[in-house]
Amino acid sequence: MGDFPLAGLRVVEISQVWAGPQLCSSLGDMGAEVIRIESVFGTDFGRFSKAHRGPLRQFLELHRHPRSRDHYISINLGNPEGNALFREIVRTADVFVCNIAPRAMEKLKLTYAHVRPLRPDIVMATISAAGLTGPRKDLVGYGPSVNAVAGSDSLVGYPETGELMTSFWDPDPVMGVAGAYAVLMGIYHRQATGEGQLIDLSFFEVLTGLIGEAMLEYQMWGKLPALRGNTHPVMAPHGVYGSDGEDAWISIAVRTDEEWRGMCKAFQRPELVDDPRFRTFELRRKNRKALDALIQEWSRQRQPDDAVKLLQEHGVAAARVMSVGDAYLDPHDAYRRANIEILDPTITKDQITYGIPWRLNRTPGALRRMGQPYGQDNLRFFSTMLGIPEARVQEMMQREVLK
Amino acid sequence: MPSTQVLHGIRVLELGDFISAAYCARLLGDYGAEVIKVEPPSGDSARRHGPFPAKDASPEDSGLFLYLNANKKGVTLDITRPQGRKLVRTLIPKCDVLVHNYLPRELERLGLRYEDVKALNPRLVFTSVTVFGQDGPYANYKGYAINATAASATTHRIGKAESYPLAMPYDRGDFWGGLNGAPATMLALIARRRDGKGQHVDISAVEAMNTFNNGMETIVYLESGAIPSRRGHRVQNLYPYAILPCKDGYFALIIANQHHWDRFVELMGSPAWSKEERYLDRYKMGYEYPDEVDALIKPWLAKYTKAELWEMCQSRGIPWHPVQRVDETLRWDHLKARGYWQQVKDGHGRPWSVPGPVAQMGRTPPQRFTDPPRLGQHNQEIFGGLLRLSKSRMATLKKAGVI
Repeated sequence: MGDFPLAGLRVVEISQVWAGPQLCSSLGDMGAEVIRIESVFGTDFGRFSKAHRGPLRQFLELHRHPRSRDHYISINLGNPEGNALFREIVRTADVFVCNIAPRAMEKLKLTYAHVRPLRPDIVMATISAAGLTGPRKDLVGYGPSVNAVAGSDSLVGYPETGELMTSFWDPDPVMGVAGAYAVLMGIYHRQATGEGQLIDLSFFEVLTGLIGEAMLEYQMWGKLPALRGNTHPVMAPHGVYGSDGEDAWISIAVRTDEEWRGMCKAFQRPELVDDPRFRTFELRRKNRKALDALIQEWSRQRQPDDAVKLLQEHGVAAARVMSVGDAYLDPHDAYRRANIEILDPTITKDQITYGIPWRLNRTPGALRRMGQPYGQDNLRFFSTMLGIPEARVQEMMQREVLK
Repeated sequence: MPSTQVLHGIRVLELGDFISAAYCARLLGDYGAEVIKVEPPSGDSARRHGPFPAKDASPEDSGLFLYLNANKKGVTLDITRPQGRKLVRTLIPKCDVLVHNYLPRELERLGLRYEDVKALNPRLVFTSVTVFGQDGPYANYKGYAINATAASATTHRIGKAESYPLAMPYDRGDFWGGLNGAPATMLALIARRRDGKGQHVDISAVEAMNTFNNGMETIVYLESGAIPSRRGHRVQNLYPYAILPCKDGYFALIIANQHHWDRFVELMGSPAWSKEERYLDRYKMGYEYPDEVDALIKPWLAKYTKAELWEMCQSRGIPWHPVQRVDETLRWDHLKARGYWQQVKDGHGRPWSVPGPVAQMGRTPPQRFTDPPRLGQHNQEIFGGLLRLSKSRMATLKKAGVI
């Protein structure tokens, strides 16, 4: 039986698609009782994504981020009766996570000013593109474009041509993690003092925080950072190299002279250690092209896994450039993922695609329940938790108060 | 002044080098934890990384170091030597959290595995942040950020299909690890409230990225065998979902539901081509001839600046954004108005702006950033004060090069 650090906490969640749902899954895995409220006004379009049409869709609905909730309910928040139900629920909550646009929060009466009188000690976290204050607070935006505004996308591209590429869409997952950190601090403070508070999370701020170095480059050098490609200020070699196979690549990074000697040994090229072109980091950086060509020649003749293993045996940092398929099938990832405890009898370990990456040896949490269809728990929740007779719940569903 | 910071009273010992552990500890420091950063007498390698502001730059001026190590105290200690290790062991009972980024084999050599130090302080939260984590087949593999993004199926998806893949910029993989360490550490502190016991928290950057970034695409792969590859300036194949050049840079046309696209076509003046059968289905456009459609809208985009496009789109509810250069993000009035930027001074007293904390918390605001420690700046305070070492003992240790 998993031990849950957040047992006894009740979380109310109104969130869509990714950042908020991921955050609340993390809280749910760790034992918080999560009430996920969905609404026809702002239905989680993760459920309707056309990218996964067909037989896949049901599967995806159930397996994407919203897992480990105790209650999957639906309320028409735009309806006064529905809104009153929300207020009744939030009165009992310790935490409220709200991941919808600030204007919609206002319209649906979900702001801290609305919620605080109902539950003065609530920890409320809002997640929005630009935050709740400031001249551009009403900017609309979604995760994948956050790196554009944050400045991060301007750093991704090929130095040879100067072309920018889109960077990876990590803003949502990054926010899910940073948001959890903030919410957990709010909980920690509340446990000590009984005080709740408003936590205002802005996507732009969290993501700009990952490129502090580039911000300093600009200020210190008085010019814009040049595209680095895969090169690095203090490491050479540092890059990805084609290896034997279709679209097969490995990444190699060398920071110390000891690692450089290890690489030469792995290559069975002892004469390279003191080669006047490569002897020191400065030289390796200066002669990067010749160095990369040499590594490329070695790498191309080898299977990626063999090359990585050999380099690692010689103390050199190397890893295969994996596709999502490779990563899923990789024995290390499978090993780490299998650490999770699963309490939901409808799923087994070999069916899951990810575990709990915050590995706490004493209170590890568990996957408590798989994601459920929209409004799955309406009948049970409203009758047993709020004491509304079943017939009346049915009737509210018919009248689309619960929708 | 009474502190309202949420982590006031929590003492964090930071061991290791470079980014991941340092970023994790700084996130804790931002909210009031007292962080003691242990560096070798030669200094953390981030001190030699740069960017440096001028020719007279010293290890006290390195931009990356300044950013990662605000809100900390710093001591020097050679923990590879028995006397240094002994001092670490006397520090551990006085700390609540230990954050490090050593490989398991390195920890073992240092006698600092969790099992080795648990008895010294049963309340200690021991947080490991490495690329591959503390167990599993690759646990002892060396890894830098480029290897983390390679092994987590991230690099594979950035860049052009016909060219080499690109790592996420600016050592993002290491930041990912450090970021995940923060909520995981908070969970352990929350669990400690119940029974006073600490635990081992084990973070792998690769596992965290696999978990939070790849869920959806892993499922698509398992169901259909499809592997997402590099899409250059596009994020996905639903048109447009891309960054495209405009008059003064790039504009991100990313995330578009049908109504966003319709409004954009209207904004362009509903050109004749947009009514042709060929340009109605955004799936076909995206999968079959995206470049052709790019060519049709590029001349229109080229007439406007990023700021003009941003205004035109946002006022119509189209959630698109400019690709801001770092100087634009730095000067952006919105972030300034929110008080996002913090100032830190380098060793020569020059002030620099750095990205601020991840969340605004109403009742327990993060602290105003303090300048990062100079090498060994707090030796006297920590060794002489906290550990009560005598002057002569400190002199001996200093002479021996231990501190």
